Amino acid sequence: MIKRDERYTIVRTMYEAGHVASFNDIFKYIPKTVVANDLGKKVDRFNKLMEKVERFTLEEIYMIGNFLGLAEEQIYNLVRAEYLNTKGKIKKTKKS
Amino acid sequence: MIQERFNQTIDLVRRKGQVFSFLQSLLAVCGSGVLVFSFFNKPARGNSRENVLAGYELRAGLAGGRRGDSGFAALLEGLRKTEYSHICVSVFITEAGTFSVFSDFGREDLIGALYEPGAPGEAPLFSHLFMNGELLSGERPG
Repeated sequence: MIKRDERYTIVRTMYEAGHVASFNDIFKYIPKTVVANDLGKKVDRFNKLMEKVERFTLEEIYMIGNFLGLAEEQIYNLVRAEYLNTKGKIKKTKKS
Repeated sequence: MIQERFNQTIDLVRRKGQVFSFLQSLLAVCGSGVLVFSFFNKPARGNSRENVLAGYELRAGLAGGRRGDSGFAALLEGLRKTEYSHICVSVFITEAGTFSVFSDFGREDLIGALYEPGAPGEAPLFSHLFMNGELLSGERPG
């Protein structure tokens, strides 16, 4: 059995303390390469998906949630927050 | 149980919080007005001293030198020195800012504290609403 990276536990702890408010915040505490590898994705592809989180499948999102010990609703809400943040930034850029 | 944890944590801050000047602001607001309180319920793998230290070392690194006397240096020193195997983090989100109190689960010793102006983007898991120092929301199930 593959050993789970201990940093997933740290993310969960920081989530409980309110320090993880969006999907991107996860990667302050665990490298994208670790999550990409565990998800079976190439890092380049994973980085592309991070730029447009709406392109992750629900299955992938729930798998990441599972790595972190987060419920489906919790990880979904983090992705949703990320999507809305990004969308807001794009709209602002277009206006200015 | 939630009210008891709140009272115990505030009592700990009263007894041992003088080291952190910003905690006086927490004491000033905790008995009046509305605040959100959350805490780590019981010792678990996620709140082992090593994991909490690792998480807040990363957080301190991200904050860089911007946080002034927000408590990171003392917190990290406290986490490195403490002999407790698990750390209880209690968070108070108030109109004066967000206060995080790090202690043992018995609330006997204060290991560190942090202050951040403003509120986190997402309320911590298992948050409870307090008004004038009294629990407004229901008890956590289970």
